[in-house]
Amino acid sequence: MSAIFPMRSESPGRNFVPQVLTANSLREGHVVFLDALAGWSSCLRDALVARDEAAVQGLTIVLENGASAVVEPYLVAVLRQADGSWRPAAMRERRRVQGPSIGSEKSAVCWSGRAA
Amino acid sequence: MYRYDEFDDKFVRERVAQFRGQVQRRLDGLLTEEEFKPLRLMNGLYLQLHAYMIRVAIPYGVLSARQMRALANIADRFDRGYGHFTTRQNIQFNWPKLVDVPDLLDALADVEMHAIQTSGNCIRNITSDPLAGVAADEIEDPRPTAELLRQWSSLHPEFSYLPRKFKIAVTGSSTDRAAVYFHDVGLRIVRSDSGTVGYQVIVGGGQGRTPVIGVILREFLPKGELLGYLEALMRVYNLHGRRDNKYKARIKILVKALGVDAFRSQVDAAYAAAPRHSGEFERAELARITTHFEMPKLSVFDDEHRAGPATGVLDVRFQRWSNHNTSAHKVDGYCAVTVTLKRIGGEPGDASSSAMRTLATMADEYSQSELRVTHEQNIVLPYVAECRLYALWRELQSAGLGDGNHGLITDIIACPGLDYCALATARAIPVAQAIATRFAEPQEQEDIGSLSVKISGCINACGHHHVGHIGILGLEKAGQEYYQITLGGDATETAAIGERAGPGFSATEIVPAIERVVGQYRQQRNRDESFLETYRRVGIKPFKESLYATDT
Repeated sequence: MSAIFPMRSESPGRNFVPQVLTANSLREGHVVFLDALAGWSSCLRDALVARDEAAVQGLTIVLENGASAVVEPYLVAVLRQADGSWRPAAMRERRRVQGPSIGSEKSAVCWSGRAA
Repeated sequence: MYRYDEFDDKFVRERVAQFRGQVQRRLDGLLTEEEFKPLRLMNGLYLQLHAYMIRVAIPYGVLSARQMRALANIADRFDRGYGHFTTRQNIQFNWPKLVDVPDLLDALADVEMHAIQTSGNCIRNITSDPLAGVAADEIEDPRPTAELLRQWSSLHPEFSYLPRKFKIAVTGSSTDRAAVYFHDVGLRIVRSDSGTVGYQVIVGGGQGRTPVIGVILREFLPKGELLGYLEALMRVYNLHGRRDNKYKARIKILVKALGVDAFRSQVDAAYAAAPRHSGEFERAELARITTHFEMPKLSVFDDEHRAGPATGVLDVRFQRWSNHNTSAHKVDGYCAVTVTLKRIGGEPGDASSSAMRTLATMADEYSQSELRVTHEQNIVLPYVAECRLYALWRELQSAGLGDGNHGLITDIIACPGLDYCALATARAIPVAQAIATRFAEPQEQEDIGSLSVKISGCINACGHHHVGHIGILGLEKAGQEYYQITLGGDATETAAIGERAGPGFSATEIVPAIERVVGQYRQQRNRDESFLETYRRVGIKPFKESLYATDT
């Protein structure tokens, strides 16, 4: 399996923050992420992480050309965790990935790359 | 209750069919999201943080048992088995799939409901007193006026693209349970010195990022002139309300910018310029609508039964509940019962489908098959015989709905916050849960007495924090949730906007902070003095001192 966007080998600039492309699915409204096969996955661990400017450009092209299967796509900054997984930098985006924190909606978290 | 006529029914069905076609074209790729978004919003369908959300209108908060059952069925069929009653007497479902929404709307239409005008820059659902038609202190039932306004404002061609959303509330009592001073237009049904009943018109109130207490635009508006006068008012707003900045687009900003006297002159000029009507049509229509809201024939109980519940007197939980959760009724021997959706540790305003069905059954058994949704996110059973209170409470209690905490510290209002809402900056529901859990002990709640805690998860103030005796506003600072406290707000006829106490508190500090506020009140209060009375007497200073005292 190869990524649809080339990943440059040289290291990105010092202030660069890796990004993923997120949206909500059109039919169901669920949170989804663009994966490396140009599909949309409900798990952040499947997301294509743009690790340099060129890759971010690739995501931006998808964003701007409209992905018809999704609603309101946008880029989200992600940070690498000690265990190698990625998680959103912003609190709002972490909540969006995790689902509601209350009652029966405490959902299985799949952003750590470890949970089922 | 008001019943749809053939036109209403046909119209709502046609709108569902129209939206079904729009959804299909969106799914087929014939409509872009840019084209589709305004169409879905006109049908109450939002995209929230995790999913779509649909907001269903409950006109002036009145529901039949049949409608409540339909909402329960919708929760099971199209959502995750629950719904969220909002601070505007509506209900929201948090997880509908776009593909299911046309069927959901058909299920609503089956029981004369819809989601039209629950979004967008139009006149939103008209809200009212949840005790409308039964309150002992009522001058006149506000529901016919609210229904008249609902019909007038539904798809009003001139007012479908206002500068911003527009909210109207109506009350018919001297006690304001509809927050009329915090709406774009608030109407109070009043009696003139000569004994004629008409309307006092309040304008320019609101919460959000710019909280404003509405001001009196017209002391006394005779019946028959309401629609013409409101049309003139809306026309001035529609022309001069700001469209360049959505944060300055509400009517409150226009009224403040012009000053109420200048605004009044413009409304009067617009009213004078409009074609004159005798008012006969409006009066006749109001009279026709009023026939839908007659007091049901309630059984008369003999003296032995009217004495009230003989059983239950020894049950302190029942006594507490009947003290706090019942309101005086127009009809002797009856009361209105408030069922709080504020189980300790639960989500304020949420009701599971089984709770909805229990409430529908209780309405059938005890309250003429009718319920009301309150802006405090509770449910009212409006026609309960006092002699049947104990039996009702036992049934509510066994369903987990019998908490006697109405108006107490655990009867907390909270918006969905960052757990659901795309606009939120912090969570609100877990804060409500933590405060309610801390003050769960009924005797402590009883001792603290009347105290409203209201929590919003962002500056838009859907959780009404500005008017909470204790208001909590959740914000984000440096990637963390933090919470600002305001004190002394009041949503009633003694309207006040809460004063900010000082710097905010982290999620872990907020419950101890509320404890300190409550502790200070208990220290300061005179005998039988409520929190608000104490606050008004001593001011914010001692509360600030207790909130920000540095340990030495």
